[in-house]
Amino acid sequence: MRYKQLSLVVLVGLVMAGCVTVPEVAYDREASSVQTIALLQPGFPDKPTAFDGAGTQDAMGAAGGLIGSLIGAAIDASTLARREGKLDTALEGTEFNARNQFVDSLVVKLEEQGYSVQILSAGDAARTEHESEPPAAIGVADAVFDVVTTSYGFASTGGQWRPHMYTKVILKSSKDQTVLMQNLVNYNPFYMASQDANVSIPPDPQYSWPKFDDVVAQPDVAIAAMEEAVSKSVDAIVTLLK
Amino acid sequence: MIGRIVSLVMIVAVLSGCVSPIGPLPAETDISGRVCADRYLLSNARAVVFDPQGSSETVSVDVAIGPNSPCFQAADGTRRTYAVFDVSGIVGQDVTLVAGSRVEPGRLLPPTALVLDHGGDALLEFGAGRFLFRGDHLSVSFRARAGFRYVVVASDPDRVGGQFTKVDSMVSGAVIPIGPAVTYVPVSADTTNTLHYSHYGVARLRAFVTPVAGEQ
Repeated sequence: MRYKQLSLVVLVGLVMAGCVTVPEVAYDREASSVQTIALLQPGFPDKPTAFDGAGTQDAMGAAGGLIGSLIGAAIDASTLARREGKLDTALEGTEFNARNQFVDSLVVKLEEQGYSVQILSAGDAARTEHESEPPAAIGVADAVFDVVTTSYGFASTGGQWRPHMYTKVILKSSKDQTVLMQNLVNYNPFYMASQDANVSIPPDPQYSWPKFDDVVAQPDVAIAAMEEAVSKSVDAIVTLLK
Repeated sequence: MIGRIVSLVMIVAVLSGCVSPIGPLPAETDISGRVCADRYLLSNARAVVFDPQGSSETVSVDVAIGPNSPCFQAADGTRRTYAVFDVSGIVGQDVTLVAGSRVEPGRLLPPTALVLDHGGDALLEFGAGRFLFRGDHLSVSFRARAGFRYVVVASDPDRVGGQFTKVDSMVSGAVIPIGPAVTYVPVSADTTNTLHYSHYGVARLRAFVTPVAGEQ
């Protein structure tokens, strides 16, 4: 019995540790003297997702699959795929393109902060990891900015569907690959309120639906919600480079 | 069995900050009746001591700002409450400082921050636009430099009196033994809190060793 209780505590801890963090590297603009930035073509999902944090399978997936592997549970993706299909259908025929909005807005707002920005092609447009060997930018820019959005769309916790967007950013010196800034920027993050390791953006309270079908029933509002997530995420990323 | 699940859910909920043990705190929006100095008083600065022996160490110091805290009056007449941290006890080649304020039930001190040298002259200044939420802290992060002596966290009079609706989402879970097996019970919460910007609140300064390149 004691073994079982110990296992339970360990497993609960592992679930909660599924909240990913990255050690923050604060930017020192004055010391780094960066004026030109080579922005790698950001990694960005091809489509929005719609996962239910209150659902067992989705939650296990959100925990990184660790628990799933530990207790031998199979993750049934069919429910998730069905919701994503509904979202795709709802967005069909609209001009909404989160990736383009994100990249265009990021470039404009970096330039507003006085940076000269050049986009460099990178690998897979939907990559979820930073480039391990980014293109050399010496002579092109003072620093290489690698921005990867790992997930965006909608997520449900506590019976409410809200927009979400998770992005990881790293700025490296072109000269010596020194990390000048590193962080996560999470719009509507799923973690403990007391966790203060990375940037968290509380979601706009006006965008909230009790059922997923309510989300897709209002495509215009759903798009506005995702646009808000993109906009606020870009604002936060640029704030980190002020 | 049911009792065990309920207990776990409650533990997770409390740990995640979704269940507040106390009600909303009053927001102080008017300090016009107070006598404020025209400079920041540094003599009562809260010492922050940080001599890290390992790269994962961190220190965090909270200072409650309330009726007995000092206030500063600028030349234009605006007033702000503040807390001063003495960072001369921070030792290390590359330390990151995170300064700001912490969410309390029903209220939040909208922060600004100043970094001063030994003589009290400003070296860095962070306005409202530099602050981002990190969990339940509204903060700005920056690298410590030689010559930094004090960090002042002060209320932003332009925002005091306003309010902000903060939504917190949380997903966690519990693994429950059932006989010889276990089952996973997801726990999620969605809480909406209206925070009133207040001259009173909790200022926080956190220091940690700046991670090396790509450290996870």
